[in-house]
Amino acid sequence: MNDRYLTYDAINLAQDEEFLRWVREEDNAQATEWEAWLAAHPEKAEPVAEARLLARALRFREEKPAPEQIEALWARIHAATPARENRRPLRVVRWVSIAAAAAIALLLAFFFLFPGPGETVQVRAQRGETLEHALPDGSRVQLNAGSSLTYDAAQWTDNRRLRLSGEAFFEVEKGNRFVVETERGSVEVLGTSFNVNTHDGQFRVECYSGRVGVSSGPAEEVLEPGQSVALMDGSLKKARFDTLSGASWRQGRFEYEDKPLALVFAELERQFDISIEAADSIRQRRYTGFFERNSLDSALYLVCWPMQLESTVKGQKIQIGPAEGTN
Amino acid sequence: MTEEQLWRQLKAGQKSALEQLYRSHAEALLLYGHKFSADTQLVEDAVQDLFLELWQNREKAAQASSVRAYLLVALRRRIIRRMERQLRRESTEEAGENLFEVEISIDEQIAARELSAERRVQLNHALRELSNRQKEALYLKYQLNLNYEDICAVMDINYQSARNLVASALKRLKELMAGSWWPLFFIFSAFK
Repeated sequence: MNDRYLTYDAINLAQDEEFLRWVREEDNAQATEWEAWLAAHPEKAEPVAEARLLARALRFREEKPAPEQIEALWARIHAATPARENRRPLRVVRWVSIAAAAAIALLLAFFFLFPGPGETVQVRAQRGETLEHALPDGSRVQLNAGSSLTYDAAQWTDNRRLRLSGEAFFEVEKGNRFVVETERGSVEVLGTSFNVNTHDGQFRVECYSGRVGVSSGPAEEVLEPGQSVALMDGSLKKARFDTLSGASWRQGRFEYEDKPLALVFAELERQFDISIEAADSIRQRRYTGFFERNSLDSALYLVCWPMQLESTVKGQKIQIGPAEGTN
Repeated sequence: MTEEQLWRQLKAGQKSALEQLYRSHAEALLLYGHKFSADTQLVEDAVQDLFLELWQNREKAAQASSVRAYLLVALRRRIIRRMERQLRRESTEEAGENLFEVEISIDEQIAARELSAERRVQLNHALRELSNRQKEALYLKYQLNLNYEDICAVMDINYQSARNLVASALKRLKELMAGSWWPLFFIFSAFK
């Protein structure tokens, strides 16, 4: 036991970490030592008794948050923190990239990965680009910006199975079953076309033709053309949608109906490879409208103007706040 | 699992680590945050913000010596920043640094056992008279069990100031408790 305690009064003791661990009964070894020390220095009994009392006397009036409040807040945090796919090391013999710069200042890069036997193929659409990829059986995938998919090309004929992170539209050739696995659920089809979106904590599947089986945990749904399903609070909610206007991201158009601005901002960030700064109170507001990929300025205007917001461009960073003259 | 391991997992991008951090600290963060603002929405937003940023910047996040202190500092700054923004809009009053609303009293059992009714009134009065800075330091030390190093970081003050805040409060407490109780308590604790 440290000699410094011989000089300590009650006030000093009541602030000492080791003493407090004893008082809080966190550490039995500590208790034995203190008791022995106290027996050897009976004159210290008074300050020790005082300090024990001081350290335990205070009560702070507060109401603990309800477990539901803590859960609800976690649900918000969980939805806003998409787990990034852990990139597996690729065993790729060689790759060729073809980059095409479009007149609208949009860079589309196509990565075709030519695999050898037992090869994992990863296809990635960077932020600010979308790309099309042909699977070994001729099925086609269009990947939205900031999305990626991985599959084993050698196994493809026997096992049409791929892993998707982000958003993609699939046109699947007829054949054996075709499985899209995502972080939050999987989609299983025979031959059909459908859109899967897992961006920003969502899991949303739209069926355009054929039949699509969707599962997430224990929940399962089968979709007919024109039906969609979205994961909400752990269960799959079915709804109808317009197949003519759906998955319009493939035409460079992004439409929203009563969606939090946070989702819209996240899509803007991916499509234009920018970063948006906005207050949470703004991110939570709900937006109905659309923007297009051909111009950042008009996209920002289309999102901000109806919400009485204003954007200021600072290099790659965009600040969005209340418009001047309002509020 | 130690906090250090958890922090490493967070940096490696494991979402489960974020959840575990949240679950171990959410209650303390919400309670602490409420001492600055009664606005539940504001406090929740600040907590959410804090964890989003922790996730987004996890690769850059410094190895914190105490995770709880790290989270408390970050939350405190966020809440004060938010309140300053609100206040600038609504009034010219100075925000932030001196806020910390909590009612402190003497533990009922201890008081009933050790103190006369008159002393209890005096003591609770003295506790109400403490400055908000003192209340915050006491709260961090005796409710959240932070050590002085962490209290300095959270309140952004130096070691001596942190000690002074706590010591002066304890001194006042001791004066008012003095005399009447200690022999009784000693006998009580010796035969416990």
